[in-house]
Amino acid sequence: MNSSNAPHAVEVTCLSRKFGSKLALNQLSLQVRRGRVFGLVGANGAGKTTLIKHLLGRLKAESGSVRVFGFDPVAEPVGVLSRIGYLSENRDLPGWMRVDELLRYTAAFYPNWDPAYAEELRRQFNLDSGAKIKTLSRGENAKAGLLIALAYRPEMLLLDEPSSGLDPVVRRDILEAIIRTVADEGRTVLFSSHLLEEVERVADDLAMMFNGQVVLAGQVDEVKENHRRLVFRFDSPQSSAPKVPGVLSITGGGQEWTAICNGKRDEAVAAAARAGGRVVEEGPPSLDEIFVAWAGAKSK
Amino acid sequence: MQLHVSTADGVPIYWQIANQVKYLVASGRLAPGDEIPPIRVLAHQLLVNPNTVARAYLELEREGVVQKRHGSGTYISDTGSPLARKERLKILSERVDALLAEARHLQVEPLELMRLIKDRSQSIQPKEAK
Amino acid sequence: MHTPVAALAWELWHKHRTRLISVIGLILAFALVYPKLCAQAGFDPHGSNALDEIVKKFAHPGVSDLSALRVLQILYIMFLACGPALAMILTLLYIMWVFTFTEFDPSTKDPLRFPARLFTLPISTPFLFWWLWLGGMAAVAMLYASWVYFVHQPYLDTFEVYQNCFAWMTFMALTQGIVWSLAAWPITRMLLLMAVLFGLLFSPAQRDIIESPFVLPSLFVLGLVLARVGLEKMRHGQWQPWIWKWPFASMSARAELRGPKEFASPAQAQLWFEWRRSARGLCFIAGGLALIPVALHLLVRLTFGLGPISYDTLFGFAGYLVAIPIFLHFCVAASPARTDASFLMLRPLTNGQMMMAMLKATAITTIFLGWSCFCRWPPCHCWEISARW
Repeated sequence: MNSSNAPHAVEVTCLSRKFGSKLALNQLSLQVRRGRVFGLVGANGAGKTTLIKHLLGRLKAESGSVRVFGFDPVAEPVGVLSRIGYLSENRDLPGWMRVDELLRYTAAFYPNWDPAYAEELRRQFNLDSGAKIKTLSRGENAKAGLLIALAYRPEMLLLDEPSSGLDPVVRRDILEAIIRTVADEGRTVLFSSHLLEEVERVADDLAMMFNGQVVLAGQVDEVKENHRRLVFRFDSPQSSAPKVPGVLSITGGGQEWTAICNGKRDEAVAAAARAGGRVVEEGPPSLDEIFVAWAGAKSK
Repeated sequence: MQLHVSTADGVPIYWQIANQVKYLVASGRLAPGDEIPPIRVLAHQLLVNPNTVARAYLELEREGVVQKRHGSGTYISDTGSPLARKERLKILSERVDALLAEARHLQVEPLELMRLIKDRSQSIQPKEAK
Repeated sequence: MHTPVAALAWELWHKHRTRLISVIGLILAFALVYPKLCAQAGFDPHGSNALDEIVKKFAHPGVSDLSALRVLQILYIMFLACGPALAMILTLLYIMWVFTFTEFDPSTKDPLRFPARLFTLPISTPFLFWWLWLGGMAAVAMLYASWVYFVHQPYLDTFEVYQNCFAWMTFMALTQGIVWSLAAWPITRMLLLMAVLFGLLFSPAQRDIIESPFVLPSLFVLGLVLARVGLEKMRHGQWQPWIWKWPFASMSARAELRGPKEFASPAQAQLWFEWRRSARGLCFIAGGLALIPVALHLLVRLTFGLGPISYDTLFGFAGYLVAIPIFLHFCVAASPARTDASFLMLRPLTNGQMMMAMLKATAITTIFLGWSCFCRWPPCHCWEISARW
């Protein structure tokens, strides 16, 4: 099967989606480059799963367009789904099937299925062939789902909250699979997560979603470089959060307050100086802090 | 080569990797001519994106800490390189800053601190001479 | 398992393996054992008056007391008369459910959920649809043929309409159509399915509907179109569920708010809990269960110009209109299966108090339901009278 010549793995343009009166996606635009790991970040209910469903053709675009490898997932489901390896958030594998039956069954749908690779993965994930899926633990269930998504070496691995509810050991396995996918064959990975620690480790690019919109997008390195964490010390204790224009959020108490700013560092420092505060500590914030700062800023 | 990366402090991961390699070289745990793992292997080991490891290796190469040999991997370069010495001093100066901050906090004067360093150095040296 | 067709067939077979084998076993058992049992009872199932003979055996002279043996005897005779037909109907309903490819979903408590993982496999919707539709039709036809040709059905000879294979296939098409197109409205779907099932089971009394050359084919095509469109819309999330706004519900909510702000006792609070949780909604559903089949029936008659419901038929509906909804409502409301058992178990209430609250709520809504069912009686009657006039 030849892959298409589309430059991007995923191209979403001005996508909107309403559920009843609730606007789940609001004129959202996004591009995922091939061969990169893309992290989709957002709080629960920000619209990550809704966006992923559009990529799979599970939801039809009400307005705007969605293209995966140049194909429309609704018009050409076979073209899109044969190129995507999907791990859903709720792991709806049929409980009555055994692991080896699941592999044989899934193999029938994908011409690129590699039985040797599937067997290697099964041994690596330590899954018993004869075990029924309903007897598997949560972690083993996730690994089984990941196995059938990886075994046919899809061009894009699409993971919806892959680490949710899993112990650190299984999370390592999933991260390893992500890294192996992109390292070995230069394939694309798109995963949604609210564990920013993982996104920071493995993602090349990220997009932060809030209320159905992308509030921040770019390479992970650039995003981190554009943000600064500043600790201000004010001359007198502040009873409430001091208003410093140019910062995304400010937290703390008494005389010392921690602020996260996005590219407006000098402006923030000057404004704080006018309010009687000076910088005592400065450094790069973690993605977690950036995310919380943006969430706080957007909710006002 | 045992490295440890963490996302807690906000320090970029490639920077942490590069720094730790430099520290290992400076402390002698990595000798000149030792091979460091290929990008893919290290990425697997640390569970980070291979591009991040690639960037760290690029930094190290640019600073002369490591050398890439055609087709056979990446190796630590000779310590004779002046940049390596500069790195070693830079690492130590960070430690000195931390020590000075602590001394100020404990209300120990810098002069008293220097005397302390000299005393400790003398008490350690005879042990090494044996 | 090398192609999607084979894989889907394997999945269907494997999931229902034991039950399908039991169905085959049941047919074989009836085919082999039933004639012998009939011969032993002195009852000829092929006879033209088979059913009358059976009824005569009921009125056994000289034995008037109701001992256990007598009851068993009556049950046995009923089994000989209706056993094969009942088995046939149940197995056909089962095979229809198998080919809707739905399963119970424990997370949303949806009893007929189409597995979402089928929609993330690289198969096109037309392929999936035709596989399930043709498979369903073939299965229904084969099962029907097996029952009719291998097992003699005395009940069928009298009620010829059950011998209509096309009626069963129409029901299959309608089942798939309703289950797939109404996936977003589970309660409506359940009510409609019950209504259509009711129509099928009581079809012997509606011979003119079944034998009309327009009704069944139109329903067949309707089922096909609904199923095809429904599956497509389900896959792409195009028919969104919206909540029915019961007018009475908002009125009762306002009435509840007007009451005292605090509950007088734990027992009263628990009664409110039971009322709001299920009793209130349930009496509407059970009422709908009574109304919808009659309404659909009237609709079909009006559309195809088949004339009004006869008085006899209406009388026949009486039991269903009044008794069954109440019975169903009582069963469901008083059932011990509780989804919020863990929530309730933490309340400082004794089991007896909880049970009392549940029974009180059930009683209140049953009485309400009974009245609402009785109130529907006159309109049906009036329509029939006015049509005659």
